[in-house]
Amino acid sequence: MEKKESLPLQMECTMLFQANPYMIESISGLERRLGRQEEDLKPVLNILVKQGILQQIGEGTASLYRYKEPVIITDMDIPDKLESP
Amino acid sequence: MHKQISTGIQGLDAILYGGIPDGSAIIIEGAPGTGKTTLGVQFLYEGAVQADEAGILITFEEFPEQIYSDMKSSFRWDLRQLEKENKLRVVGLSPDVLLEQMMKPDGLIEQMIHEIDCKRIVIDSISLFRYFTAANDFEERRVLYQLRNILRKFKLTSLLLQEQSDLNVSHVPFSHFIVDGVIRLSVRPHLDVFRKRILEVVKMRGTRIIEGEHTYRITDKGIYPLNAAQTIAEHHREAKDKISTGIKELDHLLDGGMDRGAVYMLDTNSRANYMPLIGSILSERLSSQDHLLTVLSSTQTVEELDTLMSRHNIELGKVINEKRVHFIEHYNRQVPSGWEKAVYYVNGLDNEGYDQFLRNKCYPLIQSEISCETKWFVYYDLNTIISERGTDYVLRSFAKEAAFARSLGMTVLVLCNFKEVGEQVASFLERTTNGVFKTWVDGSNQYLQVTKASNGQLSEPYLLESTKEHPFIRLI
Repeated sequence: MEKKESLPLQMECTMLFQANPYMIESISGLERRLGRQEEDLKPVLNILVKQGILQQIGEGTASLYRYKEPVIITDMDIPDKLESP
Repeated sequence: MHKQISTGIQGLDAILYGGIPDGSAIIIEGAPGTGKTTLGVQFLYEGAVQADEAGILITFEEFPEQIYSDMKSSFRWDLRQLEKENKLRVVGLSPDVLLEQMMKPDGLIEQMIHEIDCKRIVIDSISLFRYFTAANDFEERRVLYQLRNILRKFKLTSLLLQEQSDLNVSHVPFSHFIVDGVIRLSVRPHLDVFRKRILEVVKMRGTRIIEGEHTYRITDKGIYPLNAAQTIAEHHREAKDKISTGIKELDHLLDGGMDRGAVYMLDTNSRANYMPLIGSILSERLSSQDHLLTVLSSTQTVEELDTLMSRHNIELGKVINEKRVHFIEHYNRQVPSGWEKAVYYVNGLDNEGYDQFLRNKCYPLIQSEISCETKWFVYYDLNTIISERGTDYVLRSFAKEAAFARSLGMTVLVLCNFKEVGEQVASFLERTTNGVFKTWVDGSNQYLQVTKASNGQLSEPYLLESTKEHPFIRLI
């Protein structure tokens, strides 16, 4: 599957992990959860791992995938005046 | 003794006398729709909110997002917020992944346990291990045993949800032998068109439990079980308004003792030996300086009562001399010399004459002494009144006599065999009294149960054991 064609499936996987942030699944588990086939899921999961959205644990068919929660700074102190160098 | 941890579910904590023993693994068994997942999530939610204990929910089939959404809309439990506060993790995975990661040194589950300092875990549901082990009983048992040991190693208090697949409750699944406790949830038909939810603690190591089938409701605050042995309580009585029965365990069941000024019934069958119970209650009253009015029965003479009282360290002759005991005698029987003045013979009186005797002699005697702050206790065998005066007389007069006794603050204990008097009369008598004790023999054991009490607490059936010392019986 080409990268462009896999975009909807990338979204599907990302949304699944985002909505269930502590899910830990193997490819076969994801097949069941999403109703998709392994050959379609495999390249998509590799892309998401490379993009840092998912973490892959282990290698091969036994690998597990989990969501990497993005680090967002919600509280930041911004001083009124910038300190002079 | 194990420390008990509150489940956060009020009624369930009461049933478990405080909660689940710390670190134990408990199966929550039930058919679909009984509220197993709700109970599990409630245990984790209340643990995080009330006890500041973090928890993990493992869900094999359900999507965590479905659980977040269901719990928020049904009970306003914001599980996502608890996750942000590191008080909770809702983990969706497969049974094989769970076991693999739990067994792996520093596996994902172990990491998560340490990350949030997890104390509680719920696994929904262990029935799924069956598919993972290809329905091989031996393998499934091994897996469950291994899981229990891992949970113990991490010192987690665990609820393992299990689908009840076999509706035959006499069948005991092997999983029940492995775990420390089993709580069963079920739904039964109720009043033709309703369904009644029942919670029962089938097994629980390390804590006492209130046995029985406890009704529960699923409210907007989650599962809410009601103690099986509870009716609506009357107003709370002060300790000074309580009178001891002389039997420690029975006093405890009655929140300190019988209520002064109340009418009690002792329902007994012919095989049960109720005399130690009567002996204890009467001797306790006499030693507390109460006055006693008793109607002698066909099976109990003054001499027999004397023997019973002396066994309980009361000299009846001395109490008679102090004018603290009076007998109403329906039979022409002799009494020991000097005791005649304490006996009112009513054997020649018809019902009207008996009524007149009560009105003109008995009540004025009681009233005159009540004004001197004397406390009265009345004891009689209703079966004697029924056999001598007829059921109609009892139905006509009992409510009146009970009302009179209550108005003067007299405490009354009436002996009756409900089976002998028939269902209708028994139901009327039960309604008229404030409390009912029931004692019966089943097989080779005698039991005692409080089936009606002002505190609303009905007891489970207790075994009665004879002891060598006063009060000669003990409730077990």
